[in-house]
Amino acid sequence: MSVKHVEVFGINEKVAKEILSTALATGGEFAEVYMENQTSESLQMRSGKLASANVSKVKGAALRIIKDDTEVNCSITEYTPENLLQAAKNLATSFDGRCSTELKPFVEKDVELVVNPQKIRGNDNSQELQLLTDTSVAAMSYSEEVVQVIANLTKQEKKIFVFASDGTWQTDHRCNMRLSCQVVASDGQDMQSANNSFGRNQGMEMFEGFDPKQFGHDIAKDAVEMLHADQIQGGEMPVVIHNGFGGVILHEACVHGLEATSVAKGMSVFCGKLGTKVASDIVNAVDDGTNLNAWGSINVDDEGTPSQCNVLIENGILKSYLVDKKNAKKMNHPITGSSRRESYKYQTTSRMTNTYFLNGHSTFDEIIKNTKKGLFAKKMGGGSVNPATGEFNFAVDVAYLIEDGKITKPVKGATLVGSGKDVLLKIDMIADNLACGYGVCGSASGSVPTIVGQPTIRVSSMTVGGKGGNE
Amino acid sequence: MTFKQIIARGLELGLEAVEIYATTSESNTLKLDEGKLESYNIQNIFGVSIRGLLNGKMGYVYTETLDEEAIEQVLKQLVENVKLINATEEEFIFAGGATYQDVPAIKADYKNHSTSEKIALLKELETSTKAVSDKIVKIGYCQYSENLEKVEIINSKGLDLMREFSYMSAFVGAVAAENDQTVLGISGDINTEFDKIEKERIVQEASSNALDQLGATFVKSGKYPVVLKRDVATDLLSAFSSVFSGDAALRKMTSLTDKVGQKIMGDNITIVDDPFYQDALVKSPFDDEGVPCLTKTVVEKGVFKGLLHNLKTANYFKTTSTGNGFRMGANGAVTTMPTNLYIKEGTFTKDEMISSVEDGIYITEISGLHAGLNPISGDFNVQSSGFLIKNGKLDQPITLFVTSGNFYELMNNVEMIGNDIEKRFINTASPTLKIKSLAISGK
Repeated sequence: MSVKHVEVFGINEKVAKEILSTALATGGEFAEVYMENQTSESLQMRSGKLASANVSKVKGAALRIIKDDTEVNCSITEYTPENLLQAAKNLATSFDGRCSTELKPFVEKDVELVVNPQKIRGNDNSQELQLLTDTSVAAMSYSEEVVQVIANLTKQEKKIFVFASDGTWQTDHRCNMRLSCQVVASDGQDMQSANNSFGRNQGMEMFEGFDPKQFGHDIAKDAVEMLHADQIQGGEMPVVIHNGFGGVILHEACVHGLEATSVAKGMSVFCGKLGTKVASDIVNAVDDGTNLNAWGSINVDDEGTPSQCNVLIENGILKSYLVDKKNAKKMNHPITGSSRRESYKYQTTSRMTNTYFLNGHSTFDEIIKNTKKGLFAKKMGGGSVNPATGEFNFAVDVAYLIEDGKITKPVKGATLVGSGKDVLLKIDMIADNLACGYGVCGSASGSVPTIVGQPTIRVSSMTVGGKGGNE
Repeated sequence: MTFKQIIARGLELGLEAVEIYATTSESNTLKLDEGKLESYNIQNIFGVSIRGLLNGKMGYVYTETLDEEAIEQVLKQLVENVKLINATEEEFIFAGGATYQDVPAIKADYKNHSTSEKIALLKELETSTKAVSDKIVKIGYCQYSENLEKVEIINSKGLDLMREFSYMSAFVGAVAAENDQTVLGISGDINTEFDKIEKERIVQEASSNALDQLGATFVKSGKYPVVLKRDVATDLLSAFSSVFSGDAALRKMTSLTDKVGQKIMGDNITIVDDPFYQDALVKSPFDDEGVPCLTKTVVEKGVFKGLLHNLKTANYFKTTSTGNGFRMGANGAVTTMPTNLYIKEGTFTKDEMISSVEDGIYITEISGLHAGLNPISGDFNVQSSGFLIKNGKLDQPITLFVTSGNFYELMNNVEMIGNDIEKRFINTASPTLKIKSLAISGK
């Protein structure tokens, strides 16, 4: 792999062993050091002019010791071997036993690269600026009602190194790059915004074949269309959720409740449900960290476990949770390569990577044609869930009414709410047009890039919120 | 390198002015699960944001190391980046020399208490909450943390400021279950004195927030008079506070830009931004640009008095900074944010407000604010739970409905304002509000 441990992080096996032995001297069962160097760059263009160009360098380490069910963790900025040794000594005082765990010899696993960023930065920013300009100009020239276009390009390059008492000795090199754009449209009275983004774990080569003009144009079109849309009247109705970012329903309604963070503590509605029916028979869902150069992919997770494809739901039956090293023991469940953290400032835990429903056997046209009256949620916004109760919500950014099997007029202001326990059971049609959206998921261990994806699906009945109507 | 050396090197590289914003944050967090310490997390994070001015443009870099090679690299990148910027708004670095209000330092006393006392506190919270009722099946969250934040601002024009505050917090999440329903009730306290952490209140609120929601049903869609619990009204005000931001105005992300002096809310609404609010947990003599903070009325009897500004937005809109130039985090650029923003209290008790409603809804919790609102139009749609109000009395608990409205319409339809503002607040506070009518979507 491309990261050299000693050069970048100043650690060799001898020093690593010394730190870990110190950490385990008082009876700890597991000790681990996570080190990271991160460079983030962000360019923001406002109405076609570059408004900011910022750089941020994050560098630090986290050291943890686990004994029984207790985890003690320490995050420090200056990760010299002396500081790490001192931190190990301090942390070890949390326990008062005698050394009982022997260090396993370090073994670096040979991992097949699924993420391999190339063109991270060139001699200048001209390609980056051109992308932002093309996006902005296309959006601004779409309509006179477009009053503001904010285009962002963010690159987050990260080199990590993890070593642990179980023999882990692993590195990863990632580059999460994302182009996003927000368009504000106004008719002098009302204002409405729309946005979209495109991201990969890759260098600038990700934009080969990408059309920024189309990207900017489409966002402006959504903003203007929603500006003139009527407010939706809320109530219960069938909802057709379109492909791509629509997969946020799986993310919120279900998979947050499959993360060990919730399950191990008995804080999820999906506790004890492995092998039981949690979704209708046509539902298949995976969390796959190995999609080539995908936004949510990783070669190894932040505990050094190689990423893998985890089948979560197969023909409606729950097959797996997402589990990290600490919770694997507690839950008696295999480790799934899902442990992630925003940075060394957070304690690592089980999180999602690329999560999506697999294709079904219907077509998009069949789904619309078979829906007498309902909502077509074309673009979803963000959402949230309380895993303990399973109650979730998410916003719909772009929506239309379905009347007599046809998509009719645009409507705005819809929010969907429901309960994870029953919404997946109400999915009665799935199309064959799987696509992905590029999200940033905020949870216990900070914000991490995740793909939410799905083909178009229909939920037979959902509560739709909206303020239109005339009761 | 020292801060002074970094500034000198920045000037050598051709920058006209250089400013250092250094943050030190220390925290200790303890989590308990079923009587055992689940996690103990110690953090000690240091970071430096350097910004530099060239031809009226500002570049920002952030680093967590002060070694010479790294600093040289980021400073050079700063100079390259700032040359790329072609936006026209002029930026500034404050010269200092201002007079600041004397604000007593807020210092928590957690260092006088041992780790075992803190674990004992958590054990007591967990045991007491669970003991309230058999229906409380688990304490899902039981957490204590202590935080210290120190900020230093030093620039080439002579500014040299420091502020520091520390606090501790404890919170509990109680899970109640009955039949097929699970509910989570949360409560917590933020304090500066360990012995004054309001244990009884946390236990009482976390347990009743969960237990009272057991048996919740669905509500029929329609328009209802609504009483917003003060926490809910606070969340809404906080989510929409960006409408008063000069930075949002500059980005055309608020509809208030041209409405200074106009009536935007009801006669009964006055909103104040007070950096020195008596019981507030954070009091700032200066903002993140070193400009003195000041108390200002943002909305007076429904009339919009003016945007919150930093140096850049004030210059753009041809006015003066209101001392609201704050950063989003240690490595963020300066934007505009309120200090302690609150809706002025009314005279009614919560019970008086509920008893004035014949057939309506008391909303006790909302979620999904980060996605379900449009700060530009003011529209919001949020997942909600609460209680039906029948003949002036709280009735059946209700859940999983959506409350929809528009922030400006709502602020024009406040019929009664409570006298129950949380005085020991951070950032935003509102009393309980009774709203004439809001759209509710349920079954």
